[in-house]
Formats: sequence, C-alpha cells, structure tokens
Amino acid sequence: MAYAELCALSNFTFLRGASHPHELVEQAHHWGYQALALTDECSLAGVVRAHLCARELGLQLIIGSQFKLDNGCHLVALVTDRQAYAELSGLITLARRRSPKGQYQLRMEDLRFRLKRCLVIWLPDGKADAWEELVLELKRSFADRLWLGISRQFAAAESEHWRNLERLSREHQLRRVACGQVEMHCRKRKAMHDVLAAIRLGRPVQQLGKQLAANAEACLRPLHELAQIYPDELLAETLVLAGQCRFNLDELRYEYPAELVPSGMKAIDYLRQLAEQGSRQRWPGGMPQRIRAALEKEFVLIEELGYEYFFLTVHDLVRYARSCDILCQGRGSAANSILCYCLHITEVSPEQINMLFERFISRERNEPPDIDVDFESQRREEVIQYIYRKYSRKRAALAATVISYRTRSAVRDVGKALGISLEQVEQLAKSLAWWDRKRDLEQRAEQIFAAIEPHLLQHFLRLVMEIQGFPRHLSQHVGGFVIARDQVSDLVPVENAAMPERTIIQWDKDDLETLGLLKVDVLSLGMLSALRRTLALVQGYDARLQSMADVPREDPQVYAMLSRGDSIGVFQVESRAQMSMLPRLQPRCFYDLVIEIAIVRPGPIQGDMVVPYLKRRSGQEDREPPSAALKEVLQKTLGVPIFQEQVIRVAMVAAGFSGGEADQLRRAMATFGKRGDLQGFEEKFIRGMLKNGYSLDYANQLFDQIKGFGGYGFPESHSASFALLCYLSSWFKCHHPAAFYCGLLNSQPMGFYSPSQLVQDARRHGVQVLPVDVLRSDWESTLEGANPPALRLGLCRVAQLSEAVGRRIATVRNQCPFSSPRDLARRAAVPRDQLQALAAADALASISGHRYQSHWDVAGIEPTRPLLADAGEPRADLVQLAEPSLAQNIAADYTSTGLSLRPHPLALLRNQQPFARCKPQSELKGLSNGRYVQVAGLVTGRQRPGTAKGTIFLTLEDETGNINVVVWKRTQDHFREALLRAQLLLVKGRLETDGRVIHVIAGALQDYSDRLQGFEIRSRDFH
Amino acid sequence: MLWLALRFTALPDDPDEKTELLKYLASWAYNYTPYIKRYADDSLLLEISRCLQLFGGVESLGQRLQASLDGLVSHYRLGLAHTDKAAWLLSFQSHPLSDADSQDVFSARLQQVPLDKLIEQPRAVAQLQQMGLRRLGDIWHLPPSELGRRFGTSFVDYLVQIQGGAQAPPETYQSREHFCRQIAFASPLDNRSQLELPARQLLQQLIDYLLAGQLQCQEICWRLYSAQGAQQEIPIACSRVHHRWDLLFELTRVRLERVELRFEVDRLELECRQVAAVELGNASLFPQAAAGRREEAETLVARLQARLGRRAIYQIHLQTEHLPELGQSLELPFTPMPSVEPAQGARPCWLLTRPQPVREQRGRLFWHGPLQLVRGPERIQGYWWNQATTRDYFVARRDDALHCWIYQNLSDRHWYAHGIFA
Repeated sequence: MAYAELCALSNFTFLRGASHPHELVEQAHHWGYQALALTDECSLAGVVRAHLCARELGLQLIIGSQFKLDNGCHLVALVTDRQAYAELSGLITLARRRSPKGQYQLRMEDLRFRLKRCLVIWLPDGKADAWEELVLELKRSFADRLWLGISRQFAAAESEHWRNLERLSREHQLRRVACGQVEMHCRKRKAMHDVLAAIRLGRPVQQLGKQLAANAEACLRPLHELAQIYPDELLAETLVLAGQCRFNLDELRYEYPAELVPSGMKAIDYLRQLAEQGSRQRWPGGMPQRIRAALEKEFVLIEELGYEYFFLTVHDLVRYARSCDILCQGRGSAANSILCYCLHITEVSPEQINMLFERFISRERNEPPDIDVDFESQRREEVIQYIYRKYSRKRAALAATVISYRTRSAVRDVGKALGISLEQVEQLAKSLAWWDRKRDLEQRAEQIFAAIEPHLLQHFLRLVMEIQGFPRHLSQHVGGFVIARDQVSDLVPVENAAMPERTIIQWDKDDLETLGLLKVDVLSLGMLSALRRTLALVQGYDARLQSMADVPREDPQVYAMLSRGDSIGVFQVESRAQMSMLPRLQPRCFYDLVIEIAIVRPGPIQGDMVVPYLKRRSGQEDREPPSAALKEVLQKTLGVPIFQEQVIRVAMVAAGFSGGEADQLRRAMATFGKRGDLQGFEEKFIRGMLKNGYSLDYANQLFDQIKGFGGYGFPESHSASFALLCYLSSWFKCHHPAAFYCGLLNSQPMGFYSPSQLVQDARRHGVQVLPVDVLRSDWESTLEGANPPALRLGLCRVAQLSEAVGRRIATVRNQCPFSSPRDLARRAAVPRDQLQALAAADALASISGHRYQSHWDVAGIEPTRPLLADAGEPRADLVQLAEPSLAQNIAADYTSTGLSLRPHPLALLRNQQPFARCKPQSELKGLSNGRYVQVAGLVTGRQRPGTAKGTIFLTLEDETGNINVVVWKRTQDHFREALLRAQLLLVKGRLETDGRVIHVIAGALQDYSDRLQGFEIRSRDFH
Repeated sequence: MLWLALRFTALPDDPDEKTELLKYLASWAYNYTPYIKRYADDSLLLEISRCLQLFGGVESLGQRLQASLDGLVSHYRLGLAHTDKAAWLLSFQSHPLSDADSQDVFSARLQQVPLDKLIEQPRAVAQLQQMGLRRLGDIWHLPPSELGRRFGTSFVDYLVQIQGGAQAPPETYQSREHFCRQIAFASPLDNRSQLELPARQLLQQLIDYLLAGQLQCQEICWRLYSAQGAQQEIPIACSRVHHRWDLLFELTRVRLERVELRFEVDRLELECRQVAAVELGNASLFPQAAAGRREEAETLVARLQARLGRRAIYQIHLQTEHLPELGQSLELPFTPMPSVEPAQGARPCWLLTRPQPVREQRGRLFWHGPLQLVRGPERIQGYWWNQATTRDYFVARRDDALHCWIYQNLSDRHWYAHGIFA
C-alpha cells in the first residue's frame, strides 16, 4: 500500500501548526509515505526548510497552500509545474498584499482567474445544504483539476459527514481523495497544538472547551492505520495527484535584472570593461602581473557560474552611493576579490592581505556569491529608495527575518496559555536574565510557581522548551534585497511588512541561500556616518584633509594610542575584550589591526589560539610549523590559524583537501553542534595529515583548534575591511579628538558606548565639551573655535525636543540672537512642551539665568495671540527663584540629556562612606597584583560573552575612568539581584594586573543605587 | 471651623472592601459629628468645632476618638487644622492634638508640607518641582497672579482653600441605607414558637421601610442575643422581596423550625444589609402568565432553599467541552444560561454518574448482557493539563435492544459504559 499526504500545515501557519516543516518531512519519510504536500495557509514560508530536508531524505515534496475563501470555502491548491508555482506564488501575493500584515483575503474569482494549472482539493465543511451551490462554481472553475478531500479523524458525527460527501461525489461525478488535514507530525504534539490555540484565542486551555481539537488525529499516521480507515481507492488516488505534481523547488532559477548591461554587449565584457577602468585608478602605473593573473582567474569563474549580473548589481549600488557622497564599503566572502577592489566595492588592496581564491566563489558549493555592502546608517534609506526607483516594487523586495519564540516570550505565552496568573508569569519572565540557561529556568519556575501543581509545572517547562524556535511572525531583514528580472512574486510570495510602504518576501536569508537565490545586502553602519561627519568637521578648520585618502597611513602615534588600550569610540576595537587585548598585542602596523580584530572573536578564543599567538608575538615561545607548506600558510599569524582562509588552506596543504572540500569543511564547522556532520571530515583530515608525514599529535591538535574555531571567525578580507575603518577612526581620535567625538555623538545610536560615556572619555582626552545652549547650539553637536576646537553639544541631546523645532531655533537665532525665553518662543514658534524640554535640559540658562528660573519663565509664556503679537514684552516677572544645587543639577542633567558636564556623581559621593574607602580608577594602576580593593561606580556595561564560560564582565564608571570588573559564576549566584539591577555598585575584590591591563575580580557586590536617588530625593523631599 | 482629618494608611486593596470599610468608619464617626466628608480615597474629614463643647475640647475628643478607633483599624494618622484640606495635609506630620493650636500654628506647619502632597493638582506640582520649589512654604508668597498665569485659577483656588479663604458650610453626613431593629423581651424566651410574634412585628417594620424607600432586600439576618451577650445568627436568603412580608415570615418560620436555640433569648434583632432600588415595572392591565410564573418559581425555590439549604437546589447548564462528564455543570437557580450548541454526533440522554466497567471476554463485551458495537469510534483525546484522557466512544447494542454508549480507555485498554440511549 502506498500513500501521499496532500494536506499538511506546519508551524509557518502561525499559532496553528504544531510541528516544524522538517519534522513533518522526517515523519512522512519514516512512515514510508510516497510524498508529502506542505500546504501552509496562504503561505510558502516553510517550504524551503521542508525542501531541504526532503532533498536529503529523498522524499517527494509537493508545494501547495490552503485557503479559506471569503465565502467560507476551504481549498487546497497543489503545484504541478514551474508555471503553476508562479501562479500560486502570485495568488498568495495578491491575497496578502491586500490585507494588513499577517492576514489575507481571497475570493473565488481570484482562484478561478489565477489558478489555471494547480490541482485543487475541496474540503467541504459545515452544513451539506450549502454545498450544492459551491460545487457547481468549483466545477466550472477547475473542471478536471478538482478533487473532493475526504478526512477521517474520528470526529463526532463523522459518518454522517462521510455519507453526505459520498452522495455529493456520486451526484456530481467528483473524484474523492484521502486527505489527512495534518496540523502536527505526531500525536505527542497535541499539548502544543492546544497551547498554540490558546495563544491565538487569548484564553487559557482550561477555558477553551470545544475550541480545542477533540483529539490528536490531525497528525501523520502510519500506513497500516490509514489502510484501516480509508477505502483503498481513496488512498490510491493520492498517488494520482502526487504523480501530477512534478515541480521541485530546485528548478527555481534566479533571473537577473537585465538593464544593467548596455545593449549589444555581453555582461562579462561589460564587467571586464568596468574592472579595467577601475584598475587604472587603483594602479596608475599598471596592474602587477601576479594580480592580473588572479583577476583573470576570477573572471573565468564568474563567467562559468553566471554571476556577472550579481557583481554588476552591487557595483551599480556602490556607484550610486558614491555619486551621492554616501560612504560605503563592501565585505563578505565574494568581496574578497581583486574584482571588487577594482570596482571600488572594497578598499583593501590585494597587496595588503592574502586573497584566497577558494573563498571567493566555490564551484563545489553551487551557492551565490556573498557581498554585504555597508552604507552610512543615516543615509542607507536613500540607497533603498534608489533600488525601489530603479527596479520598482514588483521587482525588488526585502528578505524576511523569521521572528521565533525565545525563552522570555515562550514563558509569557505558554504561562498565559496554561492559565497561570499574569503576575507570576511576568515575575518569572522578568527574573530571567539573558544569560540564564535551561536549568536556571527550571529553578526559577519552581520557586515562583510554588503553588502550581507539579504536573502542570512539568508541562509548562516542557512546552516552554518545545515552543522555542517556533516561528511567530515574519519581519523584515536588515537589508537583504531580492531583485528579479520580471516579478519577485513569480519566485516567492510577497507580503506587507509592519512598516508602511515596505514589502517582504516569505523567505529568509537561509532559505534564499538554500535555493541558491541571490540577494544583495544593503546594510547600515554607524561608523561610516561618524567618519563622514568627522571628516567634514575637520575640513572646517583644516583644509589639507580633503578625503579619507588624505589620512596619513601607518602613523606610529595612532598605534601607540591603541597599544595603551585607549580605544573608546574606535571601530571594532572598543569593546572591553578588545580593550584588554590591545595592550597585550601592542599593534604596530595595519596588519596587526587585521589580526587584532579577528583574534578577539569566539572562534579563535574557543580554539585556544589567543595565548599561543601572544606568546609567540612577545617572543616567549618559538615554534615553527612542522613543514614549509604550513609555514607559508601560517607565517603571517606566527603559526596559529586565525582567519577562516587559513583553515581552508591548512586543510588543503596539510591534509590534501580540494579547494571545494576545504570550504565544505569550513561550512561544516559553522554548523558544528547543530548537525554534527564534522566527524567524516575529522577522519579525512587526520588521515590526510598523517599521509603527508605530520605526527598524530600535531594533526589532532590542529584539528581541535579548527573545530573550536567553528564558524565564529572572520575571513581575512572582512577583518581587513574593518581594520581600515578601525585605523581611520583611531587616527581621528588621536589627532582630531573634538571632531571625532562630535562625529560619533551626531551618529548615535551606534557603537558600544552611550553618549555620556563618550563625553566622559572626550573630556579625559582634554576636549572641552560645552553644554547645550539655545544661543549657541545647532541641532547637531558642533565645534567651536580652533586650536583646539571645543565641542558644543547639539540640541539633539535634549530629550523630547523635536528635530523640526531644534533646527528652527538654530536658523532663527542665526538671524538675530534671542533676548529671552519669550522672544525664543515667539520668533521660533516653539510650543510650550518643547520650551519645557529646553528648560529641563538647562538649554535656556544663557537667557534665563538657571534651570529653575527657566522653568518659571517658560511656564509664564502665554500662547501668542495674533492681534497682540507685536504688543511687545509684557512687564518683567519680579519673581527670582533660588538656584538648584549641584546635585540637583546633575540629576536633572542625566534625566533630560542623558549626560552631565558637571562633576561625576561619584565625585560628590566620594567623601561619604562607604565610597570614601573605595579606590578611584586612576589609583588602581599603582596597586600590586592580587591586592584586595574596593571600587565603586555607575554600572555602564554588563557583558556575558558566550566564550567566557558564564563569566560576566561589568564596566563601572567613576569620576576618573572606567573600571573593569570580572564576576565569576559563583559570585553571580550570590549577588544576582545587585548584578541584575544596580545602577551604582560597590565591588569588593582582588586586583588582577599585569601592569597594562587591570581587572577587579569581584568577591562581593553591593547595590548602592538608593544613594543616587537619595541624592536626588534628599534634596527634594522633606518628610 | 476646625477640621480633623483621619487618614487610614492600611486599607484593604480590594476597592469594594475599601469602600465598605470607609462607609463603616463614616457611620462610626457619625457618633461624634454629623459633618463628615470622604477625601482622597483613604480619608475622612470631620468638622468638629460644633461638638467640642460636648466632648470637652480637642484633646479630650481626640483621646476618645483614638481609644475607639484603635479597636476598629490598625493604622491611621490624624491631622488638625482650620480647613479640611489643610487638616488632611497636616495628617502627614506628627503633632499631638492640642487645644492651644491656633490658625497661626497651622499655617506655620503647612509651610513645611511637601508639594507632592497637593494631590488635586499633580500637573502644577510636577512643574513647580522642576522649578526647584519643594514645599508649600516655597510658593506661599509667590504672587497669586503669576501663579494663576502659569498653573490656572483652579490651582490658586486650591491654595486659597488650603489656607482658609472662603469656606463652604460643611455638609451633613447621610447615613447609609440599612435596616436594623431589635425587640427586647421582658423575660427571656426559651421556645422557638414564642419568637414568631416578635419576628412578625419586625418583618412588618422592614416591609414598611422597604416600601417607603422603594427598596428590595435580598438577604435578611436574624440575630438572637442572650442576656449574657451570647449571639446566634440565622441568615435567610430571599430573592428580591419588596412587599411580601408573608413570604419572609414563612421562610423565617421554616428556618426557625430547624434551628436549635442555644440559649434563652433576651433580644431579637433583624438586620437587612443588602438593599437595592426596587425594579418596579408597570403593571399590566391583564395579568401576564410568564411574569407570574417566574415569581412563583422564585418563591418556590426560596421555600425549598429555606427547607433544604441554599446549595441544595441547582439548575443544569450545558458546557462546551469534549469530555461528556464535563459537558454540563450545576449552577445556582436563575443564573443566566450560556448559549451553547448541542454536541454533534451520538449523545445519550442518560449519562451515568460514574462510568461502569464493561467486561471483555474472548473478544466480546458484556454489560448486563452481551454488547455489539454498532457505531464508532469517536475519539476524545486531551485534558493533559488536568488528567490526560484518550477514549474511543462507540454506540453498542445489547441483546435486549438497549443502546448504550461505551468507551475504551486507550491508555489501559479497559472498557466502560458511560450512557444509555432512550
């Protein structure tokens, strides 16, 4: 007996399907089904995942979808061939595009006119009287492509329903086919199915009664069970339909937009022409022969695989951005090429780094090339609009990101679905720190849900784990565009995103990659914005610097600064981990930065590559690679593999892998732990190395390093692109600090540090920072004076102030300065709430006296009456209020601008206990290693890197600098609350220092946040 | 005028309970003054200038008040001042009540009041705090015109009310609608039947009270007291009685028959706390059968409840549940019926209270005779959050042509009979 399931929905029918697509495929394969149709409701979002699994298992996957029409009719459409696929994709697009996100709308006419090739199964429900009318319409629309779907799920009154269907089929000569109407892959998912219904309906399972499924029969059932409940002919009919559905997703081919090539020219020739033009700019003296040969190799591969249009598309975007003076930079594996350097997609020259051809595009992999282009964050939208203009919305759409359940959302939704009180659910959800693991969840749930019956708690925990990873809805990808020659919707359905005027496709980037479809990543990078602004500011007082190219290279002062760990605000090396690595690594040239960026990554850290590299660099260890071939690969990184390319090369030269195989090894490492297909590679790798004469020990050691490296390492080109921005930002920080910090502040939000931390750092570097002032500030922060310039904070720092008002104030003031708050309100038409925002930020001090007086003055301004507009100033107020205290001003500064230029709060608390006993950051340098210390500061950062085995790193800020605190796991458990919530923290612990890098290893944490409030409240409230 | 503020700091969270308690406290305060106001959701303001003479001055009144109040609530604060709002504000400070306190003293104390206590003007207060103004004294002397310009005249008026400008005469306290009367006997009664006559008198008084106020009662409570202070309570539920004293009397008699007197009764008290406005409909010219039947049914149910107990009479409601035993529920009489679609498929009209085991012998089923499966199965699986259940239901025919509803429990494979078809 054979069977094909023709109606199954996955969890991509959100909050209804209770199984992942791959689970359905695996189960169907396990039961020996001939085929499985994935028919999510008005969606193809899950088909690629199902396809991937079906391809591996060799199961026939039928693409389809099911719909509830506006007349209540329930239909399943199955794809027969490529054209039918385009029909279905187009129909889903139509139904989705006319409804808000997450909904759809379809009428019978839509199907009649658009589905000309798909097979249609009708699943009649409700009362039989209503069928008569429908059946005629359906027969007219689909003729011999129509079947009557018969389901057996042991429901109440099912036999009557069957008899009615039999009669219907007899009277109208409709063919019948067995149809499982599957919503889960096995019966065990019934609880999950019920919980999803509860989430969808917004009521706990206990109250849903018959709104839940009566049983778990909507699952994939073994063939012998099916044989018992369906007549043979109904089962046999499933194979008839499956036989007609021959479409396979692998048939989808991307068709590139054709207009990029001048007519009459071949794409490859045009690409060659562009590359030639570019190369003349790159090498005015002529391209070196070695590089020309490599470029030729790239062209051959591009032409062979047909990727000319991809490079042309990316080139077009980059060309547009450059023409509008938008900074951009490419990265990604395919950007690692001479071609991209010639096309100005990347700025790192092939002479600076090793470009590995195998990493460029691989023949074996049959995958589209990967180039991400970063644009200035504040101007990326212009590039996106260019894409829409050039290709239209029909031809360009954003890739989706599948938003899935994570621990907190799972706790909330499952808790509510099980009828647990909202307060308890919220309490549990909030008590979970982002670093908690499964065991922590269990412990916390047991504590908080103490009154809940143990077996319900067990269900809760199991369901919370099970629902994690279930897709919840589709959102837009950060910038991955799919651009098609004709219509995107022929390829994949398009639907509305939550953002108005945005459309997304139903597949995410992994789906696109699986099918080998091309996407262009238009990403945003705050640092590019910051650099452009910084350059413009510097040009304001130093005409010598016309472009980034004028920045002097290899400046020793820059490397000296970085070697001190002085890198706040600098691209890529400003994190705590990077800051403590810099003094150890002591970068002295550009390539050191490339290494610095790549080495502080989970891959090299887990692969135990950091310590050996540092030891060899400082001359404490000297180990030559055991062969000349390996030496050549690893020489630049002192025998330690740090970049992805090196892993590939090592596999090639030492273990005899082909280029493609080595790249497959890299990809297997990326998914290591998720799938576990690394073992085959390990044997081959070790065998290969032994064959080439290496010792077993060395082979094992090298493979372990590679395994630990996983997918979390940078390719060299990527690191080099970042190193370039790192160098540029360091140079500006070193030589033009005021312009640098000003550029950073104007490009917020970005980077690792808050504006307050940046301002503190700027002042520690001697930059004079001036407060927000309506008589001086523009909307953005600006520079004032020269030699050296001071940094004037912009009106944009004022909380609640709108940009339009801020810009208007600057424009009007430049015509004539304001004489009073009333003058400001009148001339710049500033409404009352905006005046209050300015007063709160102390931006009116220069025309009002002080913050309190500003508030008083602003409150007294009445709305202008047109007739009296020119009646002049009313009499001056006689009321003069007292000035705020320093502490009051500091507290108000933080509330209204997020930073304060007055003394640090710690400076005010320093002479009080227990802070008087604490060492300020500036004094830590003089202390010896291992000494007991107490430190205190505002908690400005909490970090728990995945590589640090549960350790949490805190950054405390006091009036002299930032203190790094290390909190081991055991200390965390003891002081969980303080760790999670404290704003002002006192840490008692041991100092760990090697003279360059200083850490405090926490022994005890105390939360003194109330002292911060105390200092607000004590001055404000008198009980 | 002189105002005493009672601010209760540990009232129940539940709004209904809180209101009840405050009502009760207001009726308690009525023992001291008729001028009582509720304020700020947690306080009572008493105007006491007119009863000072009676109670011998502020201090003595304060002592009596506190002595009595200590037995009623656990946490409260007192404030004394020349205006109601000032008294409330001063309840946040701790000053002993003194006859010597004058308006000047109160004014001086008010200067120290933090602005955030001015709860009637939160927006103005937030703005004033931004100006660095923290206490009432900080704004006391600011020009009223400037304050008015910034925060509106209502804010200035509010300040005037605190300071003691024009004050409206205090309103008198309206007691709650609540009936409670007693009859004391010349000599203690030891026989239930002797209680009937006084009970009848009290019920007639209650009906007079209800008619006068256009009220109806839902529950009455009899209290019997002994001369030594022992107490016995007999609550009686009734359904919306407006004028039928005879019904109440009958219900009372039925209940009394079933009550053991624990002591000789010195006093009889009738209390009716739950009263509501009567729903008086227009009388129809011709009597309407349905309305009459409903009243009759209500009377019958009330009688049955009085005899059998309130929880002995039920109404059956259908529930939308897959599991048959959960498909109906017992509710109190006259609760509105939910609209539920009847279950699809075969459902017997008699569902057994407990499923009864069906014997299985050599592949055949027996329940008071051999059974043959004629329809099924209908599978019900779920309820995992309570007790996971998987059953296959069948219609089976017995030799005597009885059709019954049986199921197989799929977890242990045992068979049970669950219902009988007509």
